[in-house]
Amino acid sequence: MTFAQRKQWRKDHPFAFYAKPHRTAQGVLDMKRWECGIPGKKGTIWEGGLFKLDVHFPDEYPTKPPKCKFVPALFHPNVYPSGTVCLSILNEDEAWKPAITIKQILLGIQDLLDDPNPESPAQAEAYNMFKKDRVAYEKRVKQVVKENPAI
Amino acid sequence: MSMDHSDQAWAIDGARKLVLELYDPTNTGNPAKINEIQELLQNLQKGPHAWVIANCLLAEQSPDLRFFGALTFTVKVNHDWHNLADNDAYELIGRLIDHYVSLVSGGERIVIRKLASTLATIFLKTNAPWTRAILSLGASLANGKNVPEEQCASVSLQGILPALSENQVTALLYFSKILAEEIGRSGAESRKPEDTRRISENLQDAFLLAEFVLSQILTHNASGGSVANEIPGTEAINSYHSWISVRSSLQLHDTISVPQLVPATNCVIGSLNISSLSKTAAHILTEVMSRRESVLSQNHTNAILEYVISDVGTAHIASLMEGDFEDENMTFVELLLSLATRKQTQLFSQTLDDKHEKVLALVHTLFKSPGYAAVDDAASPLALEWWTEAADDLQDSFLDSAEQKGPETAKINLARAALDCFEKLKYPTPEELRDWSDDERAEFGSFRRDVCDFLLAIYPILGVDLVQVFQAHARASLTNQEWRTFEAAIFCIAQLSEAVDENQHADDCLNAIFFCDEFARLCEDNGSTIPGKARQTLVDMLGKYRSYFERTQVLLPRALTFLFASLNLASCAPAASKSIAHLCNSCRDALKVELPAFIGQFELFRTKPTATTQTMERVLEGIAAIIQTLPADEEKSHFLEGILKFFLEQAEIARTEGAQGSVEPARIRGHMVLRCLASIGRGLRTDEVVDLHQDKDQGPYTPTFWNTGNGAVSQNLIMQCMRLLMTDFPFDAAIIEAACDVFKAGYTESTGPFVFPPSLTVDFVKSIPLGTPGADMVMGTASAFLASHSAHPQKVGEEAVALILHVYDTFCWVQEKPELYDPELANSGLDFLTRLLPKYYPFLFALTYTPQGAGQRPPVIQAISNFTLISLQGPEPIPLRSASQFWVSVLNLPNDAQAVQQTIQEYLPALCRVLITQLAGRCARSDIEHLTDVLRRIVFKQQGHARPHLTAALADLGNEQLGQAHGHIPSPEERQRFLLSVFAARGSKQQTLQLVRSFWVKCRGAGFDYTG
Repeated sequence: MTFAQRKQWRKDHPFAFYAKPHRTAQGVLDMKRWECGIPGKKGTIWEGGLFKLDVHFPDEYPTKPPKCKFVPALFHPNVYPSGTVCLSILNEDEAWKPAITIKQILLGIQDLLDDPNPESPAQAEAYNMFKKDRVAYEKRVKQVVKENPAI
Repeated sequence: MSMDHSDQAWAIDGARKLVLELYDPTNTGNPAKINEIQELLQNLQKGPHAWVIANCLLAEQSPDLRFFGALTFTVKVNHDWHNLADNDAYELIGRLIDHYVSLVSGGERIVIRKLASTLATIFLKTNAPWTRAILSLGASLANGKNVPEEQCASVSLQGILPALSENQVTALLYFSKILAEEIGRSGAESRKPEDTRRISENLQDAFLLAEFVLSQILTHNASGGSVANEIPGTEAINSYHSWISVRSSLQLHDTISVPQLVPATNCVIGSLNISSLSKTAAHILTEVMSRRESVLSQNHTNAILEYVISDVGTAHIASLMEGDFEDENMTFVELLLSLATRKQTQLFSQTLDDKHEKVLALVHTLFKSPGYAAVDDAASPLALEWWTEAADDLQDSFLDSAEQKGPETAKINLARAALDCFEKLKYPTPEELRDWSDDERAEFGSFRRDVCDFLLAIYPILGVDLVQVFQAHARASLTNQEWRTFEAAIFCIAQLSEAVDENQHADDCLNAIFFCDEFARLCEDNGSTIPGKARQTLVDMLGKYRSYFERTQVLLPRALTFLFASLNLASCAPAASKSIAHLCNSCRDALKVELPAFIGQFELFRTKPTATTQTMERVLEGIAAIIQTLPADEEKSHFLEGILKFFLEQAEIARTEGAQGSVEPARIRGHMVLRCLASIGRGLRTDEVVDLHQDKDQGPYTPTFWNTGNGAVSQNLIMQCMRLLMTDFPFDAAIIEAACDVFKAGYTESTGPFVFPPSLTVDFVKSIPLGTPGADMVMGTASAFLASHSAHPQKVGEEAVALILHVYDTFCWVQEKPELYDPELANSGLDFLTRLLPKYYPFLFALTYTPQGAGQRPPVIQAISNFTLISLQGPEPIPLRSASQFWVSVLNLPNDAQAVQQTIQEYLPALCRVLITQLAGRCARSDIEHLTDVLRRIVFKQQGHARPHLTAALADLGNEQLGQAHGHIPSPEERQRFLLSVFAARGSKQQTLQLVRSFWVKCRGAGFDYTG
C-alpha cells in the first residue's frame, strides 16, 4: 500500500466506511497494516453495525492479495474463527487481481455480510445456524450488530 | 442484386422507423416495448446492412436519427472491423470525416460528440490507416470536405487553425479530447508498438490546438473583451489534461518534452484569471500538481502562487468565511492545498518570504470556516487531511535527525493547526444534534476520528506540550463548567492515551486534571451537573488510561465512584461498565477496601433499567476480580454468597416464568443469570498462571474448601442455578452457550467455586443431544474439559470414554436412520474426536468392541471410522473438512501405537478410494485443499501401504458407477503420472495442492475455470 492509494481512498470512499493505515504508539504510520470499518448495509439485518477489519498487505502485494481479518472475529458463515474473511477476490488462487482496490475489497466484504456464500463456509457455528435455523441466525446477527454499534 | 437492394432499402426504412419509435414519447412508459425495439435495432446494427444504414441515418435531418447513425457506425466498427479490407477502412474514414465536416456547420453538439467518438474508436483499431488524425481532420474542416491524410504532408496545424470558425475549432477540440480519453480507457495490454507510434504523432498537434484556443481567449480577455462562449476554453483545458495523462501513461515524455509543453501550460495557468474558466483550470492544475512526475516548472508553481494570493484568489477564502462552500470556492481550496503540498519545504523553512507566508496564512484560515466540520463546513476536513499529511512527511525529518529536532517553524505551525482544529471538535448541543440526520452524525464522527489520527501524527513532533495544551483547556473549562470545551479536551487526551498511557510521559498533565478539587467534586456529585456527552467521553477516557490508574491508585476510588454513578445513564452505561471491568481487573489489589462499597453500588444498580446482561456481567467481572485478591477463602465465599443468592432468586423466577408459558422473558432472565455467573467465574480467575499439572498423585477432584468446606455453599448456589435452567427449562442456544462459559470458567483453575466434579460436565454434555442448536458449543466445552486434564489423562479416563460413547451413540443412530443425518451433528462430533486424539487416543482406539447395552451395533472404533468415510463423501463441506481433519490427526499419531496402526491399515483401502474419487472432479473446488491434506499425510506416513490402494482407485476411475459429475477421465497414463508426481512431492503442501488442482480441473473437463 502506498501513500497514493491512501490519498485515493480519502478522495473517493464509500459512505460511512473508514480505512487508514495503522499508527504505532510512536506515531509512525505502518502502511502494511490498515484499520478499516465496514458498516452494515442499509435495509439488511446488518444495518446499524460497524465492523472493524484489519487489512494486512503482504510484501508481495499486489501480486498477492491482502489478508482481511475482523477484530474481534465476526459471527458470519464466511469468516474463520480467527476472524479472517473467506472471499474469492481475496484468494490468490481464485479471483484476486492486482488491480482490485481497497474500496472494492471493502465493498465486497460489505456485500458478503448480508449475502453469505454457502459454498465456502469458514466457521461451523454461523454456517450451521444460517442453514438450519434462519430465525435464530438473524436474532444472533442483530445481537452482533448491537455489540458493534456504528455510533 | 436487385434483391439485395430491396433488402437494403427495407432495412434502412425499418431502422428509421424503429429509431423514431424508440424516441416517441408515447413509448417512454413502456419498458417492454423499448427493450423490444432496442433488440431489433441492435440486430440491424450488427447485420450486413449496418454500414449503409449508418450512412443514411447520419445524412438525415432529425438529430435522433443522426445520433443513431453515429452510434451504428461505432457498433459496426467494433463488431466488424477485422472484416474490412484496408481500402474499405480508408474509405470509411473519409466518409465519416465528410459527415463530421458537414455536421459541424449545422449539427447538434450531441451528434458531433458521438461521431467524434466513432472516429476515435476507428483510430484506436490496430493498424488503422490513419496517423495524424487531428491534423487531417483540421485540414478537412478547413477544406469543407475530407482531405486524405497523404495530402496533408505539407500542411501545418498552425497554418490551418486561424482559418477555422469557432464552431470548427470547437469540433476539432471535441475530437482531440475524446481521442485522448479513449486512449486512456483502452487497455495498454493489447496495444502494438505501431499503434503507440500513431498516437505519439498526434501529441504535438493536440497541445498546439489547446494552446491556440486558450491563447486567443487570453488575448481577447486582455484587450478587455469578455468571453462570450466558455465551451472552447473549457474543452481546451480538459483536452490539455487528457493528453497530459496520455503522455504520462504511454511514456511519451521524449515525444514532447516539458519545455515544449510550456506554452500550453502557461495558457492553462493564465486561464485561472478568467472567471468563466477559472474553476476548470484550478481543478486541472490541482490534478497536475498531484502527479508524481510533474510538467510544472518552478515558474509555473510561482505563477499559480501569485494567483492564489491575489485578490481574486483570496476572495474565494473570504467567501468561504461567510459560509459559502460552493464548488468554485472548494476547487480553490483544493488548488491552494496542492500548491501548499508542492511548497511544503519552503512553507516550513526558517526564512519565509512574504508570499509563502500568505499561502501559509490562507491554509491556517481554513479551520476558521463557520459551521460544524463535515456537516456545514466542507473546508476543515480537507485542511485536516493536509495537516495530517504534512505531519507524516515531517515526522521523518524529526525522527531521522540526530538530535530529533526538525524545523522549529514546522512545530509552531503544527501546534497552531492543532489548536485551530480543537475548536472544530466541539460537539453540537443536544438541540443542534436533534436536527442532524444519521449521515451528518456519522460524517461529524468520522471527522473527529480523523482528528484523532492527526493528534497521534503530531505527538511525536510536539511531545508532551501537546497534552499540556489540552490539559489546560480541560482544567479551565472544568472550573468554569464549560462542558463542550471540557468534552473536546478530554476527547483529545483520550485519543492520545495510545501514545502516553504506558510511558508515563504525560503523568504530570493527567495529575493536574485528576487531582484538582473540581474533579473530586465532579466525581462525588452523582452526575447532576456534567451533561451526558461530556460524561460519556470522560467515562471512555478513564477506561483508556489503565496504566496511569495502576500507577496512581490513590485516584481509583474517585474514578470508580464516578463510573458507577455513570452506570445509570443509558448513553454511558456500556462504556462505564467496560471501564469498571478494566480498572477493577488491572488494579484489583488496590481496591480491596472498596469492595463493600462497590457491592453496595452494584446492588443499587441491578434494579435500574440500564442494568442489562451486558452491563451487569462486566461490572460483576470487575467485582469478582477484586474478590479474587482477598487472602482468606472464608472472606471470598462471604462476598460471593451475597451476590450469588440474588442470581439463584432470578433463576427461580425464570423457571416460574417458563412454567407459566412466558418463554421469552424466562429465556432472557435465564440467559442473564448464566452470563453473569460465567463472568463472575472469569473474574475469579487468578491473574497468575495456574499449573494444572501439579498434584500429580491426587485425583481429578480432591476435597477443598470449595467443595467440602464452607465454600461449598457458593458452589452449590452456582450448581443449583445451572440445574434450574438446564433441566425442564425452555433453554435455547444462547443459554447453552452461557452454561458452557460457566463450566469453562473453572477449567483453568485448580480450586475454586467454579471447579465442579468432573461428572457434572459429563452429565451436562450427555443431557444435550447432538444436533440440538448449541450442541457444537457443548462439544467444544467437552473438549476444553479434556484439555484441562491433558496432563493426566488417566485420571479422567472414565469421563473420556463416557464422552466418546455419547458421540458413538449419536453416530450409530444416524447410520441407522440416514434421513436424520445433520451436518452440525456430524461436525460437532467429529471435531470433538479430532481434538481429543493427541492426548486421549489410547482410550478411543481401545474401544474395539460394542459396549454393553448397545445391542447389535458395530464396535465403537468401527462405527466412528465408517461415519468419517460417509462424511468425506457427503455434499456438506463442513463435515467433510472435520472428517479430513480427523484423518490427518489419526495419521499423525505415533507410529508405535499399535491399535492406531491397525485401524489405519484396516481403513486405508477405503480411505484411498474415497479420496481419489472425490479429487477426480467430484468434490467441490473449495473441498480440494482439505481432502488433499489427508492425501499428503498418507503419502508422507503410509506411502508403502497406500501405493497399491491409490493405484487401484485411480485405475478404477470410470470403470464403475462413481457418480462423476463431469465425465472426463484422464487416460491411464495420465493417471499414473499424476500418482507418481504426487509421490515425488513427498507431501509438500503447495506442490501437492497444485498437482491435485490441475488433476481435478482435468477431470471436470476442459473449459472449467473459477466462476464464483
